[in-house]
Amino acid sequence: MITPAARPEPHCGHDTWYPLAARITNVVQENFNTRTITLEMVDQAQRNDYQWRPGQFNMLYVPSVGEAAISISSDSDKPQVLEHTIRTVGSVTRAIEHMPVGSVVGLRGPFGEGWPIEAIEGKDVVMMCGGIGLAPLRPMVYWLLNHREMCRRVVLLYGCRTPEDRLYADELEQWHEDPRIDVLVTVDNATSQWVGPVGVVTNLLRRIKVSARETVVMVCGPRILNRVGAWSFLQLHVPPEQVYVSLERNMNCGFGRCGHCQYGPKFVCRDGPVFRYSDIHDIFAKEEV
Amino acid sequence: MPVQTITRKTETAKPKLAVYKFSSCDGCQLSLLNLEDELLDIVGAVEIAYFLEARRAEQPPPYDIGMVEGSISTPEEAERIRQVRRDCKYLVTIGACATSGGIQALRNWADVDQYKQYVYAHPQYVASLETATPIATHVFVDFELRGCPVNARQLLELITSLLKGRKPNIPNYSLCIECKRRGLPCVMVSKGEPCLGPITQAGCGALCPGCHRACYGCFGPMEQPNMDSLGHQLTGTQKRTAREMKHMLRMFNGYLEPFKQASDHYERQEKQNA
Amino acid sequence: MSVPDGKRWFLPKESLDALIAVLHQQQYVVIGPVFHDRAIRLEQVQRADQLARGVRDEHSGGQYRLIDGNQELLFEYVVGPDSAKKFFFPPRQELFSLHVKGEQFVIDKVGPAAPKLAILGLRPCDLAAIAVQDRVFGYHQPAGDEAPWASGFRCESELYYTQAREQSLLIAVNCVRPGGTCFCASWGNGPQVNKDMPYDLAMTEMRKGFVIRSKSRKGAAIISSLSLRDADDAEVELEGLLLQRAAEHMGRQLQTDDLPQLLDRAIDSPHWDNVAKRCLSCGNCTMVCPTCFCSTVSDSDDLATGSTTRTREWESCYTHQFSYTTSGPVRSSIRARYRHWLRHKLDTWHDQFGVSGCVGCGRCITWCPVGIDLTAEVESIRRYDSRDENHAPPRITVEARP
Repeated sequence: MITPAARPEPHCGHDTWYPLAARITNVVQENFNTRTITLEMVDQAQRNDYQWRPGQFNMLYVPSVGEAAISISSDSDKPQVLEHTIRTVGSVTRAIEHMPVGSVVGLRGPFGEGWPIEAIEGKDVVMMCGGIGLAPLRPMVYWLLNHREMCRRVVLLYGCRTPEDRLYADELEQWHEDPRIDVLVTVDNATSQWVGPVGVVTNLLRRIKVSARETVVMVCGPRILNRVGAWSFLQLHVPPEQVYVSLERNMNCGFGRCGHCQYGPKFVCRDGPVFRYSDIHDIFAKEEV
Repeated sequence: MPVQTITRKTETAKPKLAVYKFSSCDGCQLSLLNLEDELLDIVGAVEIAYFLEARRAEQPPPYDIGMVEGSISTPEEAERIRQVRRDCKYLVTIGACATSGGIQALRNWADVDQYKQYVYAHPQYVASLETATPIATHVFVDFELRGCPVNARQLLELITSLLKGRKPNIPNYSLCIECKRRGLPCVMVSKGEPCLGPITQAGCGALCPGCHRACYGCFGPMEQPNMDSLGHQLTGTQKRTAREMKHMLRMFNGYLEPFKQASDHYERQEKQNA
Repeated sequence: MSVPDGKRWFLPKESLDALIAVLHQQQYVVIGPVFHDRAIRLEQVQRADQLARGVRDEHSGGQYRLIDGNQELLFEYVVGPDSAKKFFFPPRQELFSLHVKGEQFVIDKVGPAAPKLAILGLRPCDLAAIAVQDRVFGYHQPAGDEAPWASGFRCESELYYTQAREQSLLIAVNCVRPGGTCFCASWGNGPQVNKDMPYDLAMTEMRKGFVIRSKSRKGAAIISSLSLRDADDAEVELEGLLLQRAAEHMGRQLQTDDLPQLLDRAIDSPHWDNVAKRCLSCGNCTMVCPTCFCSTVSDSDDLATGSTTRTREWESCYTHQFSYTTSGPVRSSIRARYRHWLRHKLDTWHDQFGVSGCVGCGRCITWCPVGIDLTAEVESIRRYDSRDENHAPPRITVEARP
């Protein structure tokens, strides 16, 4: 019998379909259908070896239910602590929703290319996200705060439906107080306690000053936000080479082999999920590509 | 289709399965019984609470999974299905009769009273509806299993997936994909047979093409079937008549859209030609 | 190590059995074209008399018929629905079975071991397709060809595929009688093998035997164990003539030099709507295509043992569920799915793997139930494109494609 613990270290040639066992060590309910689970590899050696970059994702596996692609949402400088923020939408995420602390899930990854850490040096960084789209950007926020000297201004624009739907609400408050980062949150529907802005997230652009040439933009949200968000920065004359968008597709293998996540010439799992706008501009506006 | 998690229970309370029969031939229930190797495993995982074809003992409702075979053809059945829906948490129709009305739905295009007079000496004692209709016409159905009869593997997959809480691995794509995975040469291309495979849902394991025969669509229409294009090919290149087309489409699933619409189209064409 | 390409030997027809016997001696499972189910199929053979003989195939859009041919000839047909794909990338493959025990995943069963295959009777287009799939599945990345994916998540080569290819022996047969839907010559993939193709032996059939050449050490070893005589000048000359004539008799043609640019421009071509009216979205073309590689992995359970099996099956980009996301399928119309398939084959495959995804075998034309013809569709798109250039306003792009 071979246990995955005994399998060789990931390198060219091993069979990538075997999931690694990871145990759920903590669960935080973010809103009515979204939870953040903390995972750690059951195997100590695997735990120590696991490295990843902000924006990458894992395939989480529940035996006999299936796999789902979930981005890693914790701090990449502490790579052993793996947080995944999961909204319940399908059978795998529903199965994970029912799992208590101590349960074991399968994990393959990390996959994808992640956010362009190299591109931000000496630039302003503006992150725009909506709903669950904050989860893939959270590691980027951590990274920027950890390496604050790398770039100039850091702005996070976040939109969600109601104040109750905000992910990482406590952390957003903390970041709000933090002088190193500007956080603006807007909601579609305000409650009586809400004193912040109301409306779509692109409206927040009126509240900040974007020095177009010197700004790197990262957008992550539902499809409509990706489009409108990216375009609104282009209208502000941010060069298309400095606009990055994180896309969502159906994924099955994670390494560009199964064909599901193709986006024009790209495999979203392998070449993305983060794309530079200038690399995909010819298909970005097209439907059903 | 959303799958409810019907079974997050303790070991002691196995989910209860009920199997019902309406107007049908019992073939789909037999498919369940024909799962000889796995039947004991199923019995180990679910409690067969109501299944008159398999056991006399019955337990009172409610049931977790209800499987319904057959179409609604009599006033009594139209009443009973409502009670079945109330009794079952998760209702699955099994087979062509339950999902499309079945072969008996052919009477929907004819005069039932006339039929009765031909067949029965005393038609006044026969209480039947004008039409034979699928279960989903009457009550909400959670999942449909196609086929005449249903495929035993699919039946097993459905039960297993409900137990495990996963989306049933029951595809809606064309039969061709299953057929080609088996490596069967296309009977339409290599023999000029009038095959309905390209518009029929997979699931049978390509039984007929495996026996060198054309698919006759007993699994009903696939997702987004291109009826026009296949019809054009069959009536054009293969020179099938409108009458043949109508008969091909009006089989087990003739009353299911878009087979129904297409067969009506060929019926009109047939009349025009006459 | 390759052997100089010039050398030719002669393999008499009677020696085919000896060839198969040598392969069996070397523990190969021998695959060859047989006549089965009214089609030429690739199946296991024990003796040369099981190979299809004296049949010709007639191909046209959506039509395939076998007719009587010359009883002396074995390879008068071209390709059937099967290709080498099904051996290296099986249609259905169990990856592994596992169950959870405590905090461990215990593997109950690993996937099948890769077979050691000798495939006889592959056509040059089949070899070209194998070369394409080699890139897809990460077998022998050519040196210096720094693949973009090698730097990302540790370049993954498919274990089963790589092993099966490593162990395989490919014996090609050059085509002297191209089929009605063949257009390999348009891609430079036929009718005869070329030095870039992955083969061990390649033969050209004549009445009495085969002119045979070897490319690899494995192939050369087989030639020497058969103690064949050298082909004489007349035989070599006849081979040249037969192959030249074949190149001039392709059933279809495709202008290939500008396809990526053409299809980049054609993303909004009105012709997609025309094809969508005919396309059944049935997936036949993707299943018979020797380079299509899409697959889906799903779970199944054994209720008795509690073991879960993950199984990979061929999938098609023509299915509705293929691009399914939580907000619905990305490509929900048949128009979009056909466009995706054609653009992937002829255009975006270049970006992904540095080659075309089409090798010109013509299977997708023959085996489309309604006979949609890739070459004709490209020509229609080209016509629309040239019209657009004259009348449509210039396309607005943010910047040129890098």
